[in-house]
Amino acid sequence: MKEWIIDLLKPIAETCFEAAKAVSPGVAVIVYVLVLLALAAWVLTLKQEATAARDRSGRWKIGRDLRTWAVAILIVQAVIYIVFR
Amino acid sequence: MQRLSNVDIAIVIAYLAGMLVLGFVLGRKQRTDRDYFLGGRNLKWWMVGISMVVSDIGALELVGVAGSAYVVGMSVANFDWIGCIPAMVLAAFLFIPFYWKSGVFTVPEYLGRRYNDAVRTIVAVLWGLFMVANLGIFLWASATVLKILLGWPTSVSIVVTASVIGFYTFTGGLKAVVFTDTIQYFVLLVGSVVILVLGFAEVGGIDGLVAAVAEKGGDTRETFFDLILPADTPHPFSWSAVLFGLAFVLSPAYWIGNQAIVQRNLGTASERDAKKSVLFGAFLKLTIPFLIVIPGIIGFGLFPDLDKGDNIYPTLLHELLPTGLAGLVFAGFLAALMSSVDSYLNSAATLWTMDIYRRYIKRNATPEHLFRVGKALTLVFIIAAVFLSPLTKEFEGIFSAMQTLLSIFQGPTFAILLLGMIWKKANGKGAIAGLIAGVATSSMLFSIKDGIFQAADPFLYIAWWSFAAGIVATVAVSLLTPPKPAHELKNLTYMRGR
Repeated sequence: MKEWIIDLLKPIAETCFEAAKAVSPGVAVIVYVLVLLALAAWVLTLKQEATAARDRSGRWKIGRDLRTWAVAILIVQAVIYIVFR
Repeated sequence: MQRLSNVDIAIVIAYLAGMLVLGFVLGRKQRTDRDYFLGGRNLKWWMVGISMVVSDIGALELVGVAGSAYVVGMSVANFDWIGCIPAMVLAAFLFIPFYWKSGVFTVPEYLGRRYNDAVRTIVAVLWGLFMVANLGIFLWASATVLKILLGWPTSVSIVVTASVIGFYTFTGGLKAVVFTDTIQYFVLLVGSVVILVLGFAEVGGIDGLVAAVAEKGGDTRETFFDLILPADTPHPFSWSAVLFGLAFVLSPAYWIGNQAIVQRNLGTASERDAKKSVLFGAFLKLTIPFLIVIPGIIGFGLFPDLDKGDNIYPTLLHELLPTGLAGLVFAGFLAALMSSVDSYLNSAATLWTMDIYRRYIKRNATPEHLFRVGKALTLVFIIAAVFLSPLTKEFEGIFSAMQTLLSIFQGPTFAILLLGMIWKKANGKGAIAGLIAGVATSSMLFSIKDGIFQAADPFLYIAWWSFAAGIVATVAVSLLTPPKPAHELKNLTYMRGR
């Protein structure tokens, strides 16, 4: 039974492995950065009332919106991947 | 290895005494289950953010991650970066607000409301058993390190650490856990920065480190400074395994589905504070590799001949730090250990009290009664952990199996959490099918892993495929069976439409 399952799945596993192997680390960095930027783009689509403080007084209104911080964190993370790759 | 001086030991003892006093003070006014399990729902967001991160690091991870960096290099940082940041942002905006709004105490309780009691009980029992078993493992592994550094017998180390952690968690509940974690973070931060600075000075800066690694590591450390490794790397941290298994499955499963992590978010004063706490934790996570991974890499440049990579953190602590400072940094190490144990202890008591005791033994229990049950279970679990901990050595295979169990059920659990949140048609029958299909897939893949996977330890790939199986089965069965009525899903799902 075990051998039969291995024989069945091995071609699929090898195809996946070869596909992943074809992607160089340089291209993989781009994929990582795109994932982070896609998440940042999703965060920006969220409604402001779900992310901003109800009290909008104060000098730095943009800082009271949590989307600003989330996007900043994701961009810093993307920069780290570009620098340290 | 040279042990700590008397001055260092005095600093460590003073630190432990301080934790006991803090736990006692914080616990004096607690009366209900909400006080004990959710810190009265008035915890500061920044403390919660710190507490999440320091509990995640833990003493074993501190030793293990620095040790992996010593062997593998920079790619270990993926566990704190792509393996945390996206999941934490997703948690902050997609999951935590709904947990908080629904007023639940536990993640299984949310699943019970979203799906049904069967799903709640299955997930609660799996996590509850895992957490109690892990308490013993934490105590034993930490005692092993304490034996090296302090020279204490293993049994003494276990009893002392369990007594301190047990006392402040028993008396102060989640509030004591979060407060002590906050102090522990700053102690840990000071210690790690000192090791980083002194380590860099000793190895001759970045240029000196690169030269030392090239000279001492040769071919074995060719990819030492690479963050992204190719798919055919011999290490388990290839780019594809990290992205699919870690970033897409295990990391969100941890930050969104692990009761020990999520519980403190539920203790914040508002939904906005809950979101802020996770984002602050994500910000702190950006810095963690500089404090743990880089010291491990520096360690290879300074001490390339260690038998085991896991010895590098204690070695750096001993060899680089002067008397007094070593005691403080060791207290930081102890802090990391305590933060893991206190979180699991408090969350195990919460799960068993709220999802099992209140659900199956005493449905009409008062908040005061549940508070007393929670405290009693905290005591029972820490005592059980003391007696279970030596089994880690005697029956290592069993406890390894426990660790494997976690990676087996995390993928499918995240699959049903994700679908429950974003797809209104997902229902209880679908969720149970998803759990069964996911667990069966990961169990099967673990049993044949050597036959099909190229990587040496393919747990990240297995997590991905078990998640995928969980998604497919949940969707298929949910489409064939009636959905839960829309009015029962209020405040439980992200999607407003179909």
